[in-house]
Amino acid sequence: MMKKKSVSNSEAKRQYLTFVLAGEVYAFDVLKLRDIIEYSKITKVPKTAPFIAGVINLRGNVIPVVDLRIKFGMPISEISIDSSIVIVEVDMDGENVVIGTIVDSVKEVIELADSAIEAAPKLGGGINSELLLGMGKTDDGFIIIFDAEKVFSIQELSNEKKLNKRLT
Amino acid sequence: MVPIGELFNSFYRLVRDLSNELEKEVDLISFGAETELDKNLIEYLKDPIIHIIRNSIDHGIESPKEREAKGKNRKGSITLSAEHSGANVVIKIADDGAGLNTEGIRRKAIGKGLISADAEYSKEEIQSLIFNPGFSTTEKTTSVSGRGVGMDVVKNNVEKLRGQIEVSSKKDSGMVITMKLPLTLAIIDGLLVKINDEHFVINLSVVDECIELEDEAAKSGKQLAKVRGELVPYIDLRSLFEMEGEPSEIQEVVITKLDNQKIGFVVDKVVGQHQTVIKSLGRVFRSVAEISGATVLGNGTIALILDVNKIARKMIHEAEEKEREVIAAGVK
Repeated sequence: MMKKKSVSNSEAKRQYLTFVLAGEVYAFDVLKLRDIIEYSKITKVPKTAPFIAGVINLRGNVIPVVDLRIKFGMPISEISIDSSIVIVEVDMDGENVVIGTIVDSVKEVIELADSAIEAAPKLGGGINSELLLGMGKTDDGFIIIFDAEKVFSIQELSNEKKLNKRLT
Repeated sequence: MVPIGELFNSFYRLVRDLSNELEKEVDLISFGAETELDKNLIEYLKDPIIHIIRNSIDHGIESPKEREAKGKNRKGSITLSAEHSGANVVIKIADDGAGLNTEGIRRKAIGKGLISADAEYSKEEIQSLIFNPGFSTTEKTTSVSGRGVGMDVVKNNVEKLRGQIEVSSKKDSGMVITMKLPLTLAIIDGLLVKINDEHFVINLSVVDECIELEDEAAKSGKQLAKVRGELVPYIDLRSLFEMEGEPSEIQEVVITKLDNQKIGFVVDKVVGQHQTVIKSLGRVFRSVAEISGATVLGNGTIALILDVNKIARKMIHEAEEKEREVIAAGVK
C-alpha cells in the first residue's frame, strides 16, 4: 500500500482505452473519449476518401466516422459482434468535433505511467510516428497509442483525399 | 426565435436620414413587429430590406411637390409588415410612390435582349424583370441607388434562405415587395429519394415533377429525358456518386428547375415528401460541395441532403471544360 502510493506520487499515470485494429492493440487517451457504441449502419458520404466511412446518427446528432484500418492500409476484417465505433472529441481548427472510428473490438481501459511510454520509432510500423503519442509497454507487450488530435486533424483527413485522388 | 420588431426598429433611422438627404417626406409604418422568426434569418434579411427601402425612397416615392401635383398626400409612406403563414413568414415592404414604370422596364429589357420585342408578356412578368442582374430602371445614378447592383442580389439572398420574392406595382399608387421565407433555417420541405438502400433528400422547392426514366433514354447514353416533348438533360446520381449495385428496374427522374433551366436527377425510387430537419455535416465534410447537410429519418438512419444547384453547376462547368479541351485539341 505504502509502496504504491509513493509510486503514484513520483510518477504521473494516465488512462488509455485499448482496442484492436487488424489484430494489433492500439489505444487512445481516455480523456479524448466520448463514447463507445455498437457498430451500426454507416451512411457513406459520396465524393469522400475511401477511409471516410460515412456518417452515423449518435442520439440525433450526425457525426462522421472514419476507418483507420483503410487509412493506414491494414487488412479489413468482417464486421463481427465485437465491432464497435469508438467516439472521440477533438479540436479541429478551433472547432470542437466529435468523430468516430471503426474498431474490430474494444479491449479495456488501462493505466500507464508516463515512463512506460516510449517514443514511437521513426521508421517502420506503417503509421507516421507524428500521429502517435508513443508505444505503451504493458505485460502483454507493446500497444500503439494514437494522438487523437493529430490522427483526426483536418490535414490528415484531407491530405489523404488528395493522395488518393492522385493515385486513381 | 426572436421577434422581427428589433429589425424593423433599425429602419426608422435609415428612412429619416435618407428622406432628409433626398429632400422627401417619408413615414415608416410597421405592423407585426411581434412576429417571431429564426435569429439567423433576421441577420440575413437586414441588407435586402435596407436595399428595398433605399430603392423605395429614391425611385419610388416622389418629391412632395410631385405628390401634391398628383393629388396625393405630400408625405409618402413605407409600410413594413410581417405575419406568419403556415410554416412561413411573409414580409411585405410597400410604398405609395410612383410605382414601377412597366413600359420603361419593357423597353429596357428589350434593349438588353432579355425579352423579345414582339412577344406578349403579362404585367407581372414584366415587373419581375427587375430581379435580373444589372437591371436598373432609373436613368441616373445616385449615391443611394441606380448602380445596377440591386434587386438581383436581393433576390439571390432571399433564395439562399430558401424564400421567394415577388413584386407587384400599380402606376402612381406604389409598389409592394413580398418576401416569403421559411420560419426557420433548420427545416425544409424535402423530397425523399432512394439509390440502393441509401436515402437522399432534394429540396422540394426546386422540384418541378417526377417522371419515370424511359428505357430508350437510358440506353441511348445521351442523358436526355423527354418530358412532354421537351428534352431535359439529366444527371445520373448513381454514377456521379460512384455507387455500386444495379439500378432498379424502373428508375425515376426528379426534374428540378434551377435558374429557369430544367435538369433531371436520376434515382432508383422517389419515396415521397419529407419534412426535413437539417443537421450540419460539420468540418470534416465541408469540402463536399454536393451534400449540403444530413437529416435523421424516422428509423434512425441518416439521409443526406443534396445540393442539386451545386451539382448541376459543377456538371455544367465540367462539361464546358471538356468542350474547351476538345476544341483546343481540334485546333492543334
